[in-house]
Amino acid sequence: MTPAPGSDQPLSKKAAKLITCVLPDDGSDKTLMQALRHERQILSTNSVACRGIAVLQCAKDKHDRLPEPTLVRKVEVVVADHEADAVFDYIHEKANIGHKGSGIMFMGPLINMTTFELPEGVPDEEARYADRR
Amino acid sequence: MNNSNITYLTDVALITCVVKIGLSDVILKAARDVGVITGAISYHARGYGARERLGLLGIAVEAEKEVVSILVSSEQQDTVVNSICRAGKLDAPGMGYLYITPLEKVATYIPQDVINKLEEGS
Repeated sequence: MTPAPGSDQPLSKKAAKLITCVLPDDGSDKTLMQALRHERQILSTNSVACRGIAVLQCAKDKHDRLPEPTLVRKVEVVVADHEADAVFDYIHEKANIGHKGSGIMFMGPLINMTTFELPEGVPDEEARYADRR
Repeated sequence: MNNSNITYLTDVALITCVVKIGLSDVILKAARDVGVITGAISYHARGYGARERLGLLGIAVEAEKEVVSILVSSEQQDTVVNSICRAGKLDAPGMGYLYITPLEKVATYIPQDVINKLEEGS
């Protein structure tokens, strides 16, 4: 458990896993992160833009050059060890990873993690923007 | 391994390489040149640390970095690492560094004919 803010208590070790997904840049990263937040209460996620070269792309283009990379999103999810396998399967289903062109995901061990909680009373951005519309 | 309709790949390693900006294509090409089938991503990052110790006022080493992540099978990881090190001159000061992370499992789209071949082989 993460100690209370401001306390001198040392961090206790909490085994965890890092699940990384490489998804196409079509908004599927946001959909996945929203689903993780609302359906699994997982907030420790982030998404970053990358250039990607898929495994199934031809090894080399004409003139011995690399194939043209595509814009992709790398989503990282930190989860507790005991729920990692379930979250992995959940993400696989939500992000349609088993379909052609839907990306790749992998999981590796982490030595420690801290919990991430949002302060109470923070409005849901989606609901706030929906009100404005 | 196959659980319901998910095919898990095991014995896969993630090679992460932090290099000077503009070198990511050299690294990716080196990985592909050894004939290994790899998937890869690259993105920009800003480096801090040893830069201040190298060169005049730290000018010699650019702070802008590119991070290249390459997925390879565990048995091919050494071949790819050697190729990357040579191509990226990672043994020279300030050129960059790499590390290998073992992965527990990987999932992606696998063409049916590849699955069939694997099942025949096992």
